[in-house]
Parts: sequence; structure tokens; C-alpha cells
Amino acid sequence: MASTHESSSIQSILTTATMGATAQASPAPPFGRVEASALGAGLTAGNTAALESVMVLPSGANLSGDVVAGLQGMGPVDFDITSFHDSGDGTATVNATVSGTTWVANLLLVDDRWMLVATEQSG
Amino acid sequence: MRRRNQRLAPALISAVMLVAYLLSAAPQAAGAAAAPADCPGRSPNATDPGSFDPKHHPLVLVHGWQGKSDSMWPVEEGLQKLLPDTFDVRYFDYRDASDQWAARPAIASCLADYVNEVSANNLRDHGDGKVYLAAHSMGGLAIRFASDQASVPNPIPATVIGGVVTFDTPHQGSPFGGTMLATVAQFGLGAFKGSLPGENSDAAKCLARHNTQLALPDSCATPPYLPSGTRVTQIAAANTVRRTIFGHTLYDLTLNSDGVVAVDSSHGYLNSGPAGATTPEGAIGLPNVGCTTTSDQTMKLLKAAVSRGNLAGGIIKAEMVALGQLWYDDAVQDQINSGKVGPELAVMLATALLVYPCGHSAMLGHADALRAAADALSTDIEANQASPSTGLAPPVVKDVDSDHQYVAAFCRGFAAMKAKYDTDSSPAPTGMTNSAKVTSVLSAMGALTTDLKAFEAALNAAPAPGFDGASEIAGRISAAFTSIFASIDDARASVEALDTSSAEFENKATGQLLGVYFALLQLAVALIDKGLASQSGITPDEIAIQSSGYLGMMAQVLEIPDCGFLAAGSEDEIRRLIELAKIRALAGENTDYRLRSYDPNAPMTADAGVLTFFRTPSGNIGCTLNPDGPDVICHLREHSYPVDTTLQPGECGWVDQKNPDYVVLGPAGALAGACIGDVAVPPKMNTLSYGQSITNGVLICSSAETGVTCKNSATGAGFTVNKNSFAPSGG
Repeated sequence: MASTHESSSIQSILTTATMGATAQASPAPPFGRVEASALGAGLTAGNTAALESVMVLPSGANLSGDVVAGLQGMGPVDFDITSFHDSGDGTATVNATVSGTTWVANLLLVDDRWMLVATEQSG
Repeated sequence: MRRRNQRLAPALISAVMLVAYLLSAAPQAAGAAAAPADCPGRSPNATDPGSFDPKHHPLVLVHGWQGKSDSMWPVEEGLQKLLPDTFDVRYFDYRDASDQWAARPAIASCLADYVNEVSANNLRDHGDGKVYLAAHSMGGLAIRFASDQASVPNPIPATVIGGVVTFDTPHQGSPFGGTMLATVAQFGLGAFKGSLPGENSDAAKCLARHNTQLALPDSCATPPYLPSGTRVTQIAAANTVRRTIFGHTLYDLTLNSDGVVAVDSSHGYLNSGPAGATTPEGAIGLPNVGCTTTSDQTMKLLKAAVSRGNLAGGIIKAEMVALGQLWYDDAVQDQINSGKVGPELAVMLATALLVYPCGHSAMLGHADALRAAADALSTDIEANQASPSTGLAPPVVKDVDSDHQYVAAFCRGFAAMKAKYDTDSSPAPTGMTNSAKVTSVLSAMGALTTDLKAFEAALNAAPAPGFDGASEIAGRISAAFTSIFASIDDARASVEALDTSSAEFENKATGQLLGVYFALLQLAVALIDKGLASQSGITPDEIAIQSSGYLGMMAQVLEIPDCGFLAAGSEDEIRRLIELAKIRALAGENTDYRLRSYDPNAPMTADAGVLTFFRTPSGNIGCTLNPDGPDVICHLREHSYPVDTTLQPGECGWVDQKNPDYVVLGPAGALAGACIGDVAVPPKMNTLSYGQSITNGVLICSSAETGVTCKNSATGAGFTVNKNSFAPSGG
């Protein structure tokens, strides 16, 4: 479950987004091997806390155990950090491969960390 | 018939028009107290009423705010495919006044004049003069004003309106405005630029959320009800956002809206009239078209729209933030229903409006919406053509008739799912075991069952003082079906995750789906029972007949090709269900029958190919002649003749014993005691006087003081039955 602090940060991002501001006050952090590894590990750790640490989730969301288990069971997530693209507005994309399927992961900058919001299957 | 070569304008354009409508219609014409004004002149863009093929029915299409008749082309195209050789289509067009409120003479009065001319021409050309109307968005409100004597000088008479179908009409207004307007204005780049009205425009007031308890401002005329008895089908769209990660579903967020008009508003006709107005009677259909769009699809759709220059790039980030912020809870639903939309929900609704397949404008071309419209119009035509030769008076609709469109839509959804399974040979998704998936399905079904029971319990609760039966029940039905369909969508999604090659799927999931299907129909029965019970002048017997009509739908649906796969389970079980449904359906086999008023003294005649019912003057014996069997089933309230209810092996299969209250004449000859477990004959029907006979196909029955004699003239088999004896003959 997202913390109060996270929710507040997300609200701030939303306000920025809906106001149309796109400029970042400071350079966005990189998305390198360490960040990719942490993101993949959080997704497949098999517990909600780890998932919430790498994904933007609504406050009050109550993911079922089956959902968490399903993500854990999908196998390792291999992020192609060379494909990382910072859009400059607090969002970014990076390609990822899961069990041979390629995805585009959509990331949102929250508290100076890239967190996962959505994915799109490539092709 | 109008033919067009040009492609349709992008849905986005229409969406812009709708948005503008919802916010900038001028209210000054609204004054209901002012004398109705004449049409200042028909738009040259309306099609000429012209001449009619007497075999066809006039269908007038009415567009929405700031639209053009062109926007309705998908409706004609779809209906011509679904109901070929049925309609001569005409387009009403008010593009030159399309920024005005629906009550304005240039819209309402002109529409009334146009429809009246279409009707007159149809009569001249030997048609029945009835005009069918299909409208999008505000077009539905325009029809309401156009048929109101206080609103227009020459209103469309009730006798002219064959039926009305509305697509996403904001009968109770829209939450659009304020935050959401600002959101769309910001992100709706290109097509929206320069098209949006001021945030504080008068139309924003006139189209505010309203109902019979919540009035519009004084400067806004509340759309009047259509003439009582008008058959109205209100098609709504409900979008659901499914958040997925790497193909795994996290949760669903149900928006209950097409992006602009909430489902309860699109379905809200009966609770939207002027304060103090009598709620109209009439057959009311409430189809709900549901679309579930994954976050995966959402991102792709938004990025494509941005790349085309239709939307500002900022919407992608805003949608991502909204996805991370919103959870399906009461707070979100309160926003949708109250119209006080927060920024995150505004983004999601705008996304639904702009790019989802069940968006406000996209609905005009949505296959399910068109099929619902076709079903409704087809039913309307049948109702209007009901022949007096049955000896029954014309249909009298007592209350809300939630028709079989729900079931048909439900069935189509399953058929689509089945089609997918039939063609998809891909392996099951990795991750969850099949057992876990089945558990997920069962869990979803369990939740739905809980919902159904809660609804039923609520409806069975004693109504509060001042209970307004018709409108209250209509509202409850609308809300119930909205919720149920959302739950069914959830359940269906769970099933779609199953490994279709697994026996578990066939044996468990299909069975569960079938269970939900029946639960849905049972709920419909409960709803209608309660709704009818709240009305005066309806006896319990009549309520029973109407309820049975819904069970009759079971048989219809199970036997139509789209739902044939439901028989993939146990053949015996399905056969039992079909037979049960058929037998129950005898009591209310079609809506025409169950909605008719009953005249015990009307002369008895039979229509070829349809069921015939009669009872004896004493009322002790009631019979049904089914020419398709052919078979006769008679029910005796009292009897003393001996009946062997013992079952032979395999004789009935699904009942404990033969029912001694029935005698049947079927392929096996005449028997006392039947393999049926419930009402086979309506408790109220026309009387066949002593000394009279009635024939239906090869079946003939005679009524005498000594009893009823029936015979199959083809086989010679028959019987005579009275209170004290049963005697088979011939065969």
C-alpha cells in the first residue's frame, strides 16, 4: 500500500501534470543496472510491501494474494537499460523481457525514484 | 434511403461536439411556461421525408449537440445489417442550431414537424404511420421536447411514435464540467481546440445532474416525459479500466460512464421528468454496453492519439498518475454519481471519452450498442403489429419491462468469449496454476452471488412510506443491472485467464458461468416481482405470469446459436434446464401475451404457429395448445381421478415424480401426470365457452360441461378430462 508520503508526492505530480508543466527542476535520476535489478526484484518478490516499493499503487489498494503470487510466478524481469528513455516530464519508458515476451514499461518519477505504473506488450 | 460516400468524421470530433453540447447549450429557450414557438425552418441538411416502401418502417435518426446527421451514419449502417429490409431511414439535422438547448424551436419544433411529415408520408404510402426514433446524446432530449404539447406547437402524437432508442442520452444530466472540462480542454489538443465553451456557460447549468428530486435551475426547462405508453430503450455505456502489469491483472476500476454520461443518467429517463409529473408507463429497456480496457491498451491508445496530434502529450503522464492514484472505492463512485469529479477521475473519464471503444461518440458504432438498438426496434415493431385476432386486447404495459436485451447482450458476451477460445490455441499464461485460476473464478462468482442476494433482499424489504413504485423500481433495476454486469465482467475476465484446454475449464468454469446466468435471470424475476407488486390493480397471478416470462427467456437464449455452447456441459443437465424453461415459458411465452390485458369474454381464436391458451368457464381446467410440438398440456386445479406418478427408468430424468395436476397429449399419446415441475398453464386466460372448440394446427380442443376433450387430428390420439375422470383415446 502506498504510504502517505508517496500519495502526497503523487498528488503533487498529478497537479503538475494537469497544469501542463513538463520541465523538471533537477535532472532525473538514471535508470541503470542497480535500479533495474531493484525494480525486477520488487515485482517478483512475492510480497505486497516489496511490490509497493517499486510500483505506483493507489492508497487503500488491497491487492489479492493471487495477484502478488502471479507476479512472483511470472519469472525474472529482464530490463534492457540501454532502451531507457526519459521523456523529460517525469515519465520514462524502458523495454523489459519476461518469459520471452517483450514489453514497454512505463515509469513515473516519484520521490526521485523511477517507479512502475503500466506496461505495454510490444509488437 | 440516404447513402453516403464520405468516411465518418473521427469519433474525436463527435466527442468534441458532445462536450460542447454538455456545456454550452443556451437555456433561454427553455422556458416551459412560454408559448411554444414554430420551427423557423427545416435544415436543408435533413433528408427529405420523401416516399416509403409500405413494407418498411420509417426510422428517424437524431444527432447530438453540435453534431451533424453524418454522425448517425454508423447507426443506419449497423441497423441495416442487423435488420435488413426493415427500415427506410431519415436523418433529422439541426447543425445550424446545434449549439442551442434541445428545447429551442429550431430543434424541438422542427423535429416535431419533421417526424409528423415523415409519418404523414408513410401513411400516404400505405404504411402504418408509426415512426421509430433513434437518437444520440441530446438528440434523445430533443425527442422528449418534440413530443410535448407544452414545448412545441405541433407535438409528435403518441400514436405516431413506434419506439424510441437513445444512445447515451444524459437523461439526468452529466458530471461534465468544472475539473473535467478543464482536463479535456487541456489534453484534447487539435480537435478540441476552439470548440469548448466557457466553463460557466448556461448549458453547464441546464445539463447539470438532475432528477425528479433535484431540479434544474429555473432558467432551464426540464425535458418532459414522452407520451405515456411510449416504448423507450436507453442504451448506456460503462467503461472499466483494468490495470495490468506484464499481462497480470491487478484490479479493475469501474467508471460506470461513457466518459461524459454516467450509466445511471443514460438509464435515468423514468426518474428525470419535471417535478410533479406523473411517471409514464411504457416498456422500458435498459441495455448496458460494457467495455473493459486494460492499462496496456490504454497506454497504446493514448500514445497513438498523441502521435496523430489529436491529444496533448501531457495526457500520458496524467493518465499514469491517475492509474497510480485511483482505486475502485466508494469515493470514486461518489464522484461519478455526484458529478463532482476530481482531477484524477477527470483524466480517466476524458481518456474514456477520447479513445475507449465505449466512449460517448464511439458508442454509435459499437457492435453491442447497435445490436441492442436492433433488438429493441425489432421488439417495438412486433409489439406495434400485435394482431387483435388473438382475441386479446392490445398490449397494456403495466410497468417497467426490462426485456430480453439484457440476456441477449449477456449471451453475446459469452459467445464472443467462446469464439476466442475456439480460435486461440496459445498456451495458458504462465504464472498462476489453473487451479488458482479456477479458484479466482469461483471467488468472483461468489462475490456476484452475494451481490445478487443483497439486491434481492433489498427489493424484498418493505417499501418506505411514499414509495413511488414505477420510478423507484426503474431506478433499482437500472442500478442492479449496472452492478451485476460489472460483476459479470469481472467474472468473465477471470474465466478468460483460464487454460481452455483444461477439463477444469469445462467442468467448473462453464458450470459456474451458467450458474451466474441463471442467477441473473432469477434476480430479474425478483426485481420484476417486486416492481409489479408495488403497482395497483395487478394480481399475484399476473405477477406470476410476468415472472415466468423471464424464465421463458432462458429457453430462447439457450436455443439461439450464440448461446449454444452453454450446452457444452452435461447434456442431460442442459436439456433439463431447457425443458424446465420451456414449460415455465408456457405461462408467459412472449411479452406480447403477458403484457396484454385479459378479457375473459373475448371470442377465442388461434394464431397459427403460436401457443394458444384457454380455460373452462368453471376455471378448473386450463390448457395450452402448442402447435410446434404438437402437444397439449392441461392443468387441473382440482381432480380426483387416479394418477400413476411412478416413473419408469429414464422417463423424466430430472423430477422426482410425475406431476398429477397435469394431463398431456404428446408424441407418446395422452397421459395423466406429466414430467413437469411447475406451472405449465397461465392462471389467467381467455375462457372457451361450453360447446365451443378451438383449433391450432393439428390440435383441437372442445369445452363442454362434461369436461375438455382434445385430439391430435394427425394421429387420432386424444383424451377427455374432467374433475373426476381422465380417459385417453385413439392413437
